[in-house]
Amino acid sequence: MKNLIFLNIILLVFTIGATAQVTQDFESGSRYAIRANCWQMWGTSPKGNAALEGSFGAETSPLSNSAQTAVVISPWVNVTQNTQASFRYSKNNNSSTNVQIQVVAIATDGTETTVWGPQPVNSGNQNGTFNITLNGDFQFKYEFLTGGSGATRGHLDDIVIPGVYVADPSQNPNGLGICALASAVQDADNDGVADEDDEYPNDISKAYNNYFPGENDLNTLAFEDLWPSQGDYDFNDLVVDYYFNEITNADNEVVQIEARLIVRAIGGSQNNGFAIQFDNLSPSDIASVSGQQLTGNLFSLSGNGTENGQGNAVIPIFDSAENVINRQGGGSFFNTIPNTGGTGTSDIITVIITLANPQASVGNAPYNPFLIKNQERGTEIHLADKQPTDLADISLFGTGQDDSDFNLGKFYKTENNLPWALDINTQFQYPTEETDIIDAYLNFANWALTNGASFADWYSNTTSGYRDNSKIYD
Amino acid sequence: MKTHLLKSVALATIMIFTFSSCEVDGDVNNNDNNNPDPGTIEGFKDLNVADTFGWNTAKTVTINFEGIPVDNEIGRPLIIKNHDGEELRKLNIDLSQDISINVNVTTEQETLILSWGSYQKELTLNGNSTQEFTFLEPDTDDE
Repeated sequence: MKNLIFLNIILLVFTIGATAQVTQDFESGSRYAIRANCWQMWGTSPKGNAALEGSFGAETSPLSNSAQTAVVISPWVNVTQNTQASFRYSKNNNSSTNVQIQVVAIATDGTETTVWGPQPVNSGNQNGTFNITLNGDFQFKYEFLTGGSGATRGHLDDIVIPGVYVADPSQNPNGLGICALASAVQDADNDGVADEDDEYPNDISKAYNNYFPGENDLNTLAFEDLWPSQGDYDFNDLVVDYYFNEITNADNEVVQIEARLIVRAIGGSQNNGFAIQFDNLSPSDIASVSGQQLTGNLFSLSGNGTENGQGNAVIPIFDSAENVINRQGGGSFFNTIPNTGGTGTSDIITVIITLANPQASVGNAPYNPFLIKNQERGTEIHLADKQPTDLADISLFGTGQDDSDFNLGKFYKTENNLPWALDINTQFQYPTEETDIIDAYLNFANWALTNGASFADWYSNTTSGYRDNSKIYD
Repeated sequence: MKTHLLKSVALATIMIFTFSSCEVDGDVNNNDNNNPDPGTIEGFKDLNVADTFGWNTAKTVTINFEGIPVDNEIGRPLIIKNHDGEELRKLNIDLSQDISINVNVTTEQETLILSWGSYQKELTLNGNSTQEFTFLEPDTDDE
């Protein structure tokens, strides 16, 4: 019963864009634009010299034989009888004999009925008017006819059809104007997105999933965890795969963020945590967070799941990587040393962040993810040039090899502008323990030295000479 | 002596211009950090990269979508896919709408595919961060 209530079948034309009159004055001057609006033009084009009013009208090709097709066909129009349609017509010369024009109504079953003419076309601006004697959905075909050879061109302008536009411009194959009749749509949640397009057809607050990098893809964050000191640059101290899904409503605003994260490797002995800062959201923009993997006291959470003491919304994801992996064997290393006991599987962490109010933008995924080093809350490690949170210990900046400069917006880079973390646009196969990334990925150095202009696909495995597979954990 | 000095100055000038003209222009090979040849670098720590380098393997492309005026403003999803067919963005728009859309793509991504209803068209990324797009094709004089 409830379904029946929701099964509100609403003709699109009555909800959006309905007009009581369908007109065509060709003033766009573009046949493609006219066709996009479900008007067909065969053997005719909008031309300035064909204008019978305004700047443009439709001109036919030379009407040189009786088989010539020179028509303009209207979109589907819902008409009622005893209303009056009108148009203007003319021709450019008398070269062709017996030039005529007629108007034909085309029913949804293809039946054609001549509703006006044929009438001879004379030079000069002429008005055609006729009474609509039909009820229902029709297209109207304005057709020039000729009985013989010649080079006369017909002109047509200012078509007015009383009725409601009922064509569907989204169903316009090849943009030729051959549009489908707008059909009734089901929109169970009445959010303005048809059920067939709506990924949440029964939730008025949601319409679409927007995945990054893709519904079936994962990207990788790879950290070095000794900041502010440099490490061995194997970029496997913490390896986290991710995808994000920004769920939007019918107004294309983000209402919820689904984060899916997997710890693939731990290449060190530090007990690190992980969180994400949303640089353009405040804590009050968050309604709730679920799915966080927090067991200790590293983070202080407010009721909505954001971290206390922050100006921006900071969402702790896990406070210890150890808690989201399943070790097979001992030791502190996890999936970084081949053929040892330090292996295992990882939990899939799914965190749902529900926004208090829809947001036009929440930034670009992966936003501002960061590692919290060895349970020291103030020691954060972010991607290059990503801002620390309010709880970062600013006394650490500029120490060790860190060359951050708050005034320049330079964060988490060395003097040589080297980072402590990488965001790699694929599921990254990271180097084995203590293998320098440039020894594993043979074009990485070239990529960096050219500002990213060369070997943007340094991480790919599609061409030989990109990797030393013996130095990559598989 | 004076002639010798003039010859030296002239030679030095020519050499300066000669070496200047060998410089690679633009940002692509902006090696203003005096990096050694990549082949001679022994480790990551030896790299010295430009401070403008963001270490990004993804980029944000802004697509300025120009709508086509239509009488029936039916909302349908504008779907943006990468060249592998993965959906990146989905927006509810009518064909008439002008809209600016940010999309995250890999840095080596060369094309995107945009579709709306029965429309589908490829957008070639030309390296600019802002791309113009419309389903409207230029008119031709055929037919």
